[in-house]
Amino acid sequence: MPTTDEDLLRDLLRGSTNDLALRPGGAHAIVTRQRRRQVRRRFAAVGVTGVAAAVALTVAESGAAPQAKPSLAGPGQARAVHLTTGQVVLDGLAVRAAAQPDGKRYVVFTEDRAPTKQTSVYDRLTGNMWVYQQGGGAPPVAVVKHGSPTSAELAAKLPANQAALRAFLIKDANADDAKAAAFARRSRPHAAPYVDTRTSNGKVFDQAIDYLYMPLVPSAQRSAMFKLLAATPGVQVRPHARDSLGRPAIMLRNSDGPVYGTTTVFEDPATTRPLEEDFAGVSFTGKDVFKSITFTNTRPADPYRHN
Amino acid sequence: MNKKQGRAFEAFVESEGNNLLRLAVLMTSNYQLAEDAVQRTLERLAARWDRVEHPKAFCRKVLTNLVIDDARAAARRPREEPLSPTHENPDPLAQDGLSSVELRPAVLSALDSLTPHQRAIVVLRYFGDHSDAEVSQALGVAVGTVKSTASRALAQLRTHPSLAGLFCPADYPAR
Repeated sequence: MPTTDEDLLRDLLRGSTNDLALRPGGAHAIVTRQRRRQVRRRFAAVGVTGVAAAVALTVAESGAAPQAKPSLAGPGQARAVHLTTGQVVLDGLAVRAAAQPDGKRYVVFTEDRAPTKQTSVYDRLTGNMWVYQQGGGAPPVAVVKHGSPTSAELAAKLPANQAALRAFLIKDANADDAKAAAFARRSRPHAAPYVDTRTSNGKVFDQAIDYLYMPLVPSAQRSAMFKLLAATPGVQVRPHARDSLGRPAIMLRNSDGPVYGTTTVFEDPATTRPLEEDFAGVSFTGKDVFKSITFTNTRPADPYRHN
Repeated sequence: MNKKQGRAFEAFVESEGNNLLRLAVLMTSNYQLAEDAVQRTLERLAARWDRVEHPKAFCRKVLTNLVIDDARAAARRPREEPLSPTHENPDPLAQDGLSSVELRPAVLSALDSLTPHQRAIVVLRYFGDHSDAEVSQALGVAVGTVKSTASRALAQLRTHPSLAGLFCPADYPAR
């Protein structure tokens, strides 16, 4: 029996919310999301070994990649290839991505995730990262030594050949899924097992988008990702879209299964760099907005130091 | 987040997730907004799991700031009214016979009469059972401000129609 008004208020506040509980799967969604974020900065796994490369290529040749249909055209006759608008737009992005210079040492990302402002600086040569933050209770600055693969490591890791790249991305997605499934087993041992419902094309889209977001992926590899997306069925493209800040953008979208929901990304038509990425799942939505991505040869100081 | 950290994060969400959601519902009066705020809070915690020494305090601070910021942003937009009320206000005096679902509209309606800051202080202090020092740390205000604000907010809740007659008259501050 409450004795004072303060006790009574305590009882009222608790009694009125006793029945509320976090939706099952919430933690899993957060970890899945975190996994997607981490893929941008994780250390590159030991480069694809000869055996793995051979397996990947075998997978690619045995049906993961679209098989070339026998040509109906006679010898010496060129077969007409009709590209969809989406493929033309993605091919254009591939050409522009290849033309982007890789020369400057530091990549500076500015993000605004209200109420936190964040500027991340990536060193192309060492993979070191400086994360400057303001607001949201976050620590003001963090230095992560070799927090990202270097540009050279990424160039060595990511195949330039389209079939090999597709096989590599599917293998990469499967490895991530195995980790997610193990986590789901641990967190809810009595629940139904976690099943990845994505198609191979969905996995290619998700992984390609993740790598396109990794700031140190060299231009040649970014260009190869766009070319691969142009050849991946199911990718929706809107050439004249705008992101949530109203910036002109090329929108790429893929819907794949209830767990992974729909992923929408907005790319800058001129620089081909990401502007925004949105997720919409059954019980989970998320949005990352990059305010700017710039390149410099001198490491910038903490922009929030005097605020 | 490595395996060990993943397990620790999972255990933390298992033990604290429901409390965070209840805290957020009391601060927002809206289940969807509360769920969204908890999700954003846990997302930030997951991103900094290896750097956060006191996850509970971190969540308390982030969740409170998010809710207050959202409330301020909402105040700048035109007010949204539901098309039809989903619950009738029950009589809180009949608390013994009421379930949480029946009691909630009366309590949330009374909390709606407070400012976002007052509300955060009341919820953290009385629902979260946090000390004045912890509340002051979470909100970035002086301990004295917490005490005086809580006292004023409690006085306001005593006179709110949905909780009228529930509090002890003897406890009313002298006027």
